[in-house]
Amino acid sequence: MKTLNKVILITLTMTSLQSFADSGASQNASAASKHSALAASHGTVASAKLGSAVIATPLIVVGAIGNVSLKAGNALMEHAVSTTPLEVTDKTITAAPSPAQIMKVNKQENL
Amino acid sequence: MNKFLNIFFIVMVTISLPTLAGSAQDTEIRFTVEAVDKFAKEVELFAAKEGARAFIIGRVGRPEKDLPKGIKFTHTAIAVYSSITLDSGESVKGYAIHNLYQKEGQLNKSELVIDYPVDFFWGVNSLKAGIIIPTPDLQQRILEVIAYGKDKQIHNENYSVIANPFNNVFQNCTEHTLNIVNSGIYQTTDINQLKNNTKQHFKPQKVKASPFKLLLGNLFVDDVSTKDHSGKVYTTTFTTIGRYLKNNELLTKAVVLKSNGSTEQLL
Repeated sequence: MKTLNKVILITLTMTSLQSFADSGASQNASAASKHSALAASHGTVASAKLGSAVIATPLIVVGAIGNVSLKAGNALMEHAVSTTPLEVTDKTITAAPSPAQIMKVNKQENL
Repeated sequence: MNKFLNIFFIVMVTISLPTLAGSAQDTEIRFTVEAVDKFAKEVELFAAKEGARAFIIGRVGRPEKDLPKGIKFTHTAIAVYSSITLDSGESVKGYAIHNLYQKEGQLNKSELVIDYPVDFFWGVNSLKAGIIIPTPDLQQRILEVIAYGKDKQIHNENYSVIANPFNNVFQNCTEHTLNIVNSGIYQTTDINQLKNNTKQHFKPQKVKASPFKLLLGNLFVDDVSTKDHSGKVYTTTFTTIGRYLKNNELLTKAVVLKSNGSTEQLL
């Protein structure tokens, strides 16, 4: 490769490599450190205002328009007609940390 | 001199490529915990006020000035109104977010992960949420896809950040979201049928990146591939999904919600 080409290539590499739209952004955050930060943020009311989710079950309105079958599946059927606004808890819910994340935190703390 | 330039070139390419791939995980919080917590709850309350049982949610995970033209959000998923059982045994109502995330340490592979609004917005660059609320009948169909685990049937774990929505060679978070929406619309998990229908009716976003950058990405970055494209690179985005729903009269609302509570139209 000619010297000039190399210099141009290096310059382009350094200046033009901006991120792609989704790059890296589809990665999950560490749940363990998040739990700690939220707990600290909520202070003494942490236990009342924080919740770690075990399972989330979609709520489907029976009789709503659409073509939802009434078979079991992983859904809860709500018989009430859809109301707005929908009820939303005032708790902060987070995903439970994975076993790997928990062990990672424990290891760090033991060092 | 020539030898020195060769070494320098290799080092510089190696150093620069992570920027292309965005390999630095967006896990560090950039705002105060209180600000993220408050914003996440505002997003939930906004959707609840609209009566949305399933909506498409987007976040901005990189500096907006770095985003390619035409692309406003970096991650897309589906938020589902759910009964959430907590580790305390209590059941509450709120939104669970169904995501396709890259696997940690294996960026060319993905997994389906459920998280919650504060998790979703934890590492964002802007406290800004994209919210696309489909029509109620489409919401119900999306709910059905997820409730019956059909989303897992249309998940392809092979990840490319610029996945082509017209085939199933690779899949990214936005294409997975589109697959779920189309699975609900067409009532099928047959991926070939879904891709054929997508080709006919969906208009993706052209990725405006230099061929040089794409070539480097192809060669050196695990989660960037152009193998599934022929010619120009097109991919699914949050906005193109919104436009697709609007063009097919399947859209109730498409807005960007900001941290001050104001909204602006997405389309």
